[in-house]
Amino acid sequence: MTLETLAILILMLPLGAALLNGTVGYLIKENAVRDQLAMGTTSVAVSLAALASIIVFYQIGFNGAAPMDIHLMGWMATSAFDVSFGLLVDKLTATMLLVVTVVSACVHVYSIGYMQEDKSRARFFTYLSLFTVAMLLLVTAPNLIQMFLGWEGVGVASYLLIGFWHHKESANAAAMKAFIVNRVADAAMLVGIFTVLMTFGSLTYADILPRAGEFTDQAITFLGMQWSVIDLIALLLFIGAMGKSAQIGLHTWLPDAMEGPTPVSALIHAATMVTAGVFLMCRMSPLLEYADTILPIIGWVGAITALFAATVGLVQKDIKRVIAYSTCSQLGYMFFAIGVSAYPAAMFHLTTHAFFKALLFLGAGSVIHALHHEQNLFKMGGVRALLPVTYGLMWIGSLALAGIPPFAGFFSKDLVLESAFGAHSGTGYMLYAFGSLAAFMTAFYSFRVLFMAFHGKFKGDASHLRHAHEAPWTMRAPMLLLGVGAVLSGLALSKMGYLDWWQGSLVILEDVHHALHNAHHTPFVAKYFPLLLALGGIALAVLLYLKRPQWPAKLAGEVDLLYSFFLNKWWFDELYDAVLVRPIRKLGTLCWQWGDVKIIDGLGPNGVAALTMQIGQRLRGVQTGYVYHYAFVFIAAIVVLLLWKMLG
Amino acid sequence: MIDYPILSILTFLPILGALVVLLVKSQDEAVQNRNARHVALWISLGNLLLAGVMLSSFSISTSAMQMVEQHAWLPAFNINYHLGVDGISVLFVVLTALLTPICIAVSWNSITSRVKQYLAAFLALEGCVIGVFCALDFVLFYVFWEAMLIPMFLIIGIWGGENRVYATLKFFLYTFAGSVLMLVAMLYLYNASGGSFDIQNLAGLELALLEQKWLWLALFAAFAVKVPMWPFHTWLPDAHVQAPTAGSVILAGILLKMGAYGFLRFSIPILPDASEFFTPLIYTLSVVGIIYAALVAFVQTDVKKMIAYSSVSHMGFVTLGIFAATEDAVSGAIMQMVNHGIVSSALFMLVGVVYDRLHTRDLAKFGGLVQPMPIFAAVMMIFTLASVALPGTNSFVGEFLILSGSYEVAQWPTVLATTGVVLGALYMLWLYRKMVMGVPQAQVAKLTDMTTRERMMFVPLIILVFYLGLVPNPTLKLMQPSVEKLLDEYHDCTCGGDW
Repeated sequence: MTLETLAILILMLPLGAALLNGTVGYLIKENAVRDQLAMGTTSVAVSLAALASIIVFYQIGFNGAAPMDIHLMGWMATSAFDVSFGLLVDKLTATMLLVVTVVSACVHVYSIGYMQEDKSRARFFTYLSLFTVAMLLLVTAPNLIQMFLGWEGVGVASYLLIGFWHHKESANAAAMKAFIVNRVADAAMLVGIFTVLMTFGSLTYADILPRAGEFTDQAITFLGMQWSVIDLIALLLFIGAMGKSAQIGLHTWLPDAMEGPTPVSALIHAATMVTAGVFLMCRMSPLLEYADTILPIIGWVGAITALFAATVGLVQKDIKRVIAYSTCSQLGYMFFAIGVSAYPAAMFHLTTHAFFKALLFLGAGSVIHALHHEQNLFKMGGVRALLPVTYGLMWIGSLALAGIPPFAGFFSKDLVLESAFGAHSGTGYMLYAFGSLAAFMTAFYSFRVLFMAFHGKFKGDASHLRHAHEAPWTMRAPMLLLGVGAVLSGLALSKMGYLDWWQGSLVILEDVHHALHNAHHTPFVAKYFPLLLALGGIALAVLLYLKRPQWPAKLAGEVDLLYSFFLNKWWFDELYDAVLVRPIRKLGTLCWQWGDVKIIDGLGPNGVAALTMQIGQRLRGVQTGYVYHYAFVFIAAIVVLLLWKMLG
Repeated sequence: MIDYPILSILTFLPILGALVVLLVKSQDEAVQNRNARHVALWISLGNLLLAGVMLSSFSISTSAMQMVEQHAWLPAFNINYHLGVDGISVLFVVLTALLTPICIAVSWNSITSRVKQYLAAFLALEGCVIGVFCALDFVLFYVFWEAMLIPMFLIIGIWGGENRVYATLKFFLYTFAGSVLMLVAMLYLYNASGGSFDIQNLAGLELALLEQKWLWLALFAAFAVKVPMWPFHTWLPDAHVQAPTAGSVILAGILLKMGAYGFLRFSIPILPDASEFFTPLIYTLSVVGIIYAALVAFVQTDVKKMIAYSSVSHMGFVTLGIFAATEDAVSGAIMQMVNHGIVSSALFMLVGVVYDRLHTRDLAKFGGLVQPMPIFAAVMMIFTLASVALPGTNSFVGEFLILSGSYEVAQWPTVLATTGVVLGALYMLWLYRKMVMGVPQAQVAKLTDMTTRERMMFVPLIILVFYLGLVPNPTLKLMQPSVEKLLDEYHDCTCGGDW
């Protein structure tokens, strides 16, 4: 089997499974049969795809196989552009294939155990595979339109899975919110795509990316302002990326998305979909390199998100929300790496993060599963003896997230921070400072979760504890696999941190942007300072949640305004509700009640009808029926006519 | 090649069929109704088959009118019976032929009074509409354009809801007022051309800009009402709400397309300078329509009204694309007209499926339909996503081509129209959430899922959603020569208005 066939299979296997279960499977009346069919086919298909991805990744990444550009089927051909379905598999895509399919396979198998008691398992697994297909279309796309198909496709799959338990009103609201917030970002992205088309006359990466340098001097008037066209494209695509990757301002959907089943959170809202924005920015790196105005903005947005989300993560009560904010924060790291042109660092962190964050979510899922769907940290505690495997794996995940060597997160996060430092610019140092501070908080809240859930006394409903048990092997095995990734991926894949490894799939103008280059020669203090902070964060967590468990509540009382600012997520939801959601409803009502009913109909048809009626009524008064009235008018008219004739 | 007058057969087979249906007779009313339904369904399916034959022999290598038939009709006035199709009209003939049997299937059980007359009205309507899209003589066009109003008027006025008389009158007066002005424009053109009603001849006419402007406005009145463009749209929600389901399907699926078709067939080729002059007006009305109608749709509690307003919003994209007048934008607009015909028809049918069971259109009374009706929920999801132009569905192709084609020539309108992409998702997902998701109320919980007949109605539409979404090239190729020709001639015109 050639590598090309293998790459096509990676896409076709999950697609086949999703289609089979979405059509034939859907019509099977027998619930049990349908569920078994769905679980079996999708899990096997995605696992095989994962195996194939590992081979492809190894061949392309470490065995010198050439990148592939496979044409599958024509799609849209017009006078202005011609796009096809296809697979572009270079090192960047191969990395994403590895991440997506491996995590997806783990989550599929895990879900067999986790969703055991659910009544619509067939639907769940079909959606999961559908998501995988969309994500694969996104990462393998050879052009911006197929990318956008995958981009919106993962959005729909995410919408369907967040709202999977459709009897829950909160889940339905969260699903809709996720879709709409993403749509706002996507609208900007669409305009970005139009701008690409107008500038380059093509939507295929191969026609766009190598030629980006030719357009650096080209200006464009956009909405009355003068822009460099490359800056404009970069900004619009970045706004799109901000939506998917939950960066500050467009992040509000991600914490709410935790309404979905936990395996979904692990796959979509931690490891894969939310990293699509980072992937896109890296894919566009040859173009982004010329967007000198936009790169620092990307860096700042990332850094602020990293810090903002970390502060919110400090105080959340729901175990999944803490991890969600942590995801948001880690995505911020990836963006600020992009902001200093350290794309390899961003991709490296994306990869390691996928393993340890998926592990953390699945571990949290294991706790939630054991405690009858209890997600409140304040109703957990002391379950480490009952869930020893989960406990051990959560340690690994937390250490990796906190960035403690030799776990995966240390290497990649370090490189991100060193790159920021290595930029040797004001912005770079600020990003470094923000990132280091966020690293401190990250370490603190990861261990806060660990200690609150597994240590101390159990604080929840005692009846839950009686049935608490370690997860079945279908759940443990994928967690173990991800655990191996969380330990080893940092060391094993450390080559990813060097530009050379990417062989042109990532581009840095090294004579202008030397952050990554300098990162590999960071002074000792700058290199280990974040690690020191992380250890400090862990120590603080030990102090507050193991040694002095009564202190946190007291502390919260001391700084109650700050505490509630963090707890209420900086009041973003309230703000948007006040300035966007409610005004849109009001405006709609206004347009309808006033615009349509009062003005258009009132002056238009109903007004004209009323006027006609009125004139009719008046005229009716003239028709009295008395002959002498008519005779009088008749004579008067003759007189007037005669006079007019004579005078004229 | 086809050596028989296929367009005439397509036009008059349904009209004759209407007479046949009226002749169906039986002592037993149930038997009579059943027979009438079968006769009507088979006639319309026969016409669909014929439309397929016509489409398959349609050549994509020429921009000329095809399958042309021309006979003198009233030679004294140089009025001809002149039919033909090109890449702009052929799809609408097929769409009409496709939606009519679906409409008959939709009304299979829900219409129980005066069944024969109802079916006859639909067949007559089909014939007239196909006539509109095939006519190449202005008088012939006008006759079909007006004749089509009568069955539509009857369908809403007789088989409509509780407030049908108001809605019918509003519908009739609006469209009729527009048509009268079109008549004036037609007579003026007849004189100006030295006695010709031939649409293709008129396109070559040299008219002064001032003349063009007045004529353009007269035609605009007729077409803008039909599209409908903001602010001439208020008849549409009323008509939709009162119309029976199949009436809404035909109204949204076909009738609205006639207005946009009018712009393509008359305004742009015959009055190019005025079209260019009024382009900013069209942009403004389109963009206002897209945003305004989307906002209004979002706050509706009547499901049918919501979808009706969504039509106004979607048709705004179409008019924007037509007047942006780049090849992609116009192709996209034609594509979007077909897409809208498929998607909004399906949405009205879905509302009808629930209405037949619950007899309400009030959003507050629904909720949780997914539990008793999972297949309905899945079908509704497909069309909701198609309506919000998800890539992979047909609407994405249309919207993307319109917007990407308009961006260069009309940046502001395009960017503003793109917000419609967000607002469209807002009201459609809101509708889906309130209607399908959630916990069902008692009377909802005991509903039964879609019957085989109901499922079958949606199958062709679902296939088209994905076919046009994933394999749009054959369809785009079909219209390409005609669109190219239209725009070549349009851009050759001398005046230079800009935006």
